Amino acid sequence: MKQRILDDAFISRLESVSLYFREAMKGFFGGNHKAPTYGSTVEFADFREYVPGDDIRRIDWNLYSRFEKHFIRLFVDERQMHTRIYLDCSASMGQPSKAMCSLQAAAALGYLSVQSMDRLSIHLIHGDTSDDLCGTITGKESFYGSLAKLEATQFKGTAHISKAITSSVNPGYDDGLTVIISDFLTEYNWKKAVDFLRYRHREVMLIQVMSPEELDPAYNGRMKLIDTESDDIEDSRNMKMRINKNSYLAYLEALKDYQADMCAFAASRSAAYVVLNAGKPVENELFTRLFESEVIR
Amino acid sequence: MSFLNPWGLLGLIGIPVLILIYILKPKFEEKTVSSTFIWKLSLKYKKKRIPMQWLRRSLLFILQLLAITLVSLILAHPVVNSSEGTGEQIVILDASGSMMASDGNETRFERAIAEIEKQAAKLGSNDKMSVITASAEASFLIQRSDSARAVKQALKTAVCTYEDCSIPGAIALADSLLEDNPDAQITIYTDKDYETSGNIRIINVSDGEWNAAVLSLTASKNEQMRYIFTSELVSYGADAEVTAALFIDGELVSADFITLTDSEILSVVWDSTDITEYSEAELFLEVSDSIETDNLLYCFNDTVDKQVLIVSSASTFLQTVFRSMKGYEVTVVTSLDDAELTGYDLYIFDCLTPDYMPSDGAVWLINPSTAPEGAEFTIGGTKSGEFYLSAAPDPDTDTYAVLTEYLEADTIAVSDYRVLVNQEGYDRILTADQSTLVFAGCVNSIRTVVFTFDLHNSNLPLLIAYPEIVNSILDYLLPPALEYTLYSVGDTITISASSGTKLITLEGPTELLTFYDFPVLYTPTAPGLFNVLQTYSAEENASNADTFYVRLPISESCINSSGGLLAVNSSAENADVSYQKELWLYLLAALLVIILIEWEVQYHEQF
Repeated sequence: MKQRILDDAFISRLESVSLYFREAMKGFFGGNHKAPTYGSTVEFADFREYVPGDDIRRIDWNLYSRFEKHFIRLFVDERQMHTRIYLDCSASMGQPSKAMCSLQAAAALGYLSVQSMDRLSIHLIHGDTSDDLCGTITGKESFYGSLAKLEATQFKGTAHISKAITSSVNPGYDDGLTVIISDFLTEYNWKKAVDFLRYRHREVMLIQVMSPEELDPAYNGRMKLIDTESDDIEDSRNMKMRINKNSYLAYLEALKDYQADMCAFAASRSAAYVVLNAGKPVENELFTRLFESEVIR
Repeated sequence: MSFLNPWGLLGLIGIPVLILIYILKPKFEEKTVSSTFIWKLSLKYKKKRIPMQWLRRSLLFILQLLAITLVSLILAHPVVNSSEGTGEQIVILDASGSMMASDGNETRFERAIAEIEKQAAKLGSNDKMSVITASAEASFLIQRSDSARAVKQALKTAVCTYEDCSIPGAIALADSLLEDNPDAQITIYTDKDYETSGNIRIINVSDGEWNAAVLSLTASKNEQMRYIFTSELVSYGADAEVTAALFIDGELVSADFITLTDSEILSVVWDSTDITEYSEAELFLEVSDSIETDNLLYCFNDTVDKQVLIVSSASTFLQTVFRSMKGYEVTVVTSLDDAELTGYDLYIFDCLTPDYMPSDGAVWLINPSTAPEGAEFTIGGTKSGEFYLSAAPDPDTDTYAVLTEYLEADTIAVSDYRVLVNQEGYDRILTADQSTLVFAGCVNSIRTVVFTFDLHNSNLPLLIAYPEIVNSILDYLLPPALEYTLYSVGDTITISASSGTKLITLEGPTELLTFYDFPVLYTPTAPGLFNVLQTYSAEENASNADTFYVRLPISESCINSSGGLLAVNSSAENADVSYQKELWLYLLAALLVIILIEWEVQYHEQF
């Protein structure tokens, strides 16, 4: 029986947290996220000196009696965000544990979004393009309906994250979070996508899904490593090497430096960076990492 | 290095098998990974290529190769034969007569000593050397010395003998050192080749010497009663042309030019010498060879008649028997007044008793009425009857054995005899009627046989064995001073004293010895002519002289002979193993180290 991406226990746990946006965004009206602008909710936000043209009904007469100046009340403006999740569906993400982990991460973040009454769209990146899984999802009902499609995701070929995102039909503007779920083990410059999104005032979250074998290779000897995304046996991505302790240590150092670079880049772009170990239970790993990076509260 | 179990080297077959495994082993194991991105990145993180990187990659293969090689070597049980430097050296110096062979500059013995000194000079700080000289008996010259100087000093006292050499005896002496140190090496400096087992090294110091020798010289009479002299000559080591000079009683009789072939004994006969009598024959080889002492040999004519005086009024029985014997010159007198009791080898008093015992010869008293002065016995009355003799109750003496060799006592019957009251120092030979009728002994240096009955009153002269019985009596009374006239160095010579001898003087080429106890046992240490002078009680001048010649042992004349098999005893045979230094322990230790390193490398390979 195929494992479900989200089970009841996972969902009940998700309901206890919510996504947290670091930046104030415009979004749409009617959401649960406080906007930096003042709106028409009943929640008092601040005072401002009256200028001609302001609504006189907002004048606070108590302040006037005190200061003999006219001030108006400002109220919190709450907007609806649009979470866009881009899922790398290349062959490298197809390793069973990675695939399940990435789908679960996408589903979890998707659920958090609809739970916050935000809109959600899930995009599957294949090659240079991204496919909208099932349009804009609002509400839990339509979200549950999208899970089946999500579960049927095929991981194959390559994925050019930057091209896929930058060429996306509606990547959004100043209206929410973009989550990129990938292993980011590609020669393509995915950083462009982050810059593109940040330019469009999108909050960005990078979720790097790594298999246990990628985090700590357990093989050694004279190996011919076949890249899952290679076209044939002679593909340049394939490589012959003698894996010994020296090679292993070099691999770990390279991985560490690569992730440090990713972390530094994400920090420089005010993006969240989370690494998920696909070998560990996703639920715990996800919550731990998301809490650590203050993505959820 | 040698291998006690060469079959173990078959383990080296593992090397080509190992190579085959490495060749057939899949070169690269294919593994599909999600991405090689990080691996590609890691390449620049790998440590810089160090020199001999190929060696590191091949390290495991090299270690496995070494392990297989070591296992094979261990199975082959390698040993190293160390010729020197084992800490203790035992040197055996052959000091036999053949080592005197000289090449004109030095003898073999001197050459051996020089070599030993060289060996001693190489002694390390922890080395010790013992030197054993091997002649007829082996003895230590120096024992376990760590000083080359002390060894050299000791070697100065080494003397080469004329004797045979007993190398096995020297090795037996060396065994006492091997018991303490089985690793000690034995080196034998000799002039013979030996087959050896164990840790024995033979150094043959001979240098092409050759030696001519006179092996024998004998004389015999031909039909014309002329003496023929026969000699055996030989040359060892080379063909030789020699001049053989024959001297008879000091006069040159013949000098012949003779050609000798290497190691072939040549018999030479001188049969036209016209010699009817001689006392001394000498054969001399005139040749310049390596050993001179065996170029000379003597042959003596020891058939000098013994002088016998018979004092008897009726000596028919005695004269008859002496006529049948050779080697006796008999003088018969019928009364004591006519008897000159000096100058004879044997005095026979038949029914006539002298007043005193002659002092310069043996005495046979037959039916004495009394005992002469100095005879140490007492005669009583007479007895008559029919008496058959029997052996004395205690007939275990040598005297009895000599006198009764041909005698059957119970065949002798006597009708009258004189009763022996007492006797001091004599052996009882025959008895009858509980009385001693025949007794003999050497009392006051006088060999005496006494018959207490008259021959005419017995059937003894009528017995067929009578001449043999008398001969036995004469053998006892007149023993030869020397059994032979030719001996070899190292032989034990028995010199018997004649009756009345007070002292024996032995005059040799290098020594003059005097003996008072008889018989004399003498072992000559050098060749040469010896004179035996026996001095009697009454006179200072010797009246009896014998001559013998001591030669170099024939075995030592053969200077190019080979020895037999030499081996150390069973306990020292272990030295064969320990002297051959075992290597398998060291190889095993190296193998363990290699295996540990190989495991470590394997572990690192697999991290």
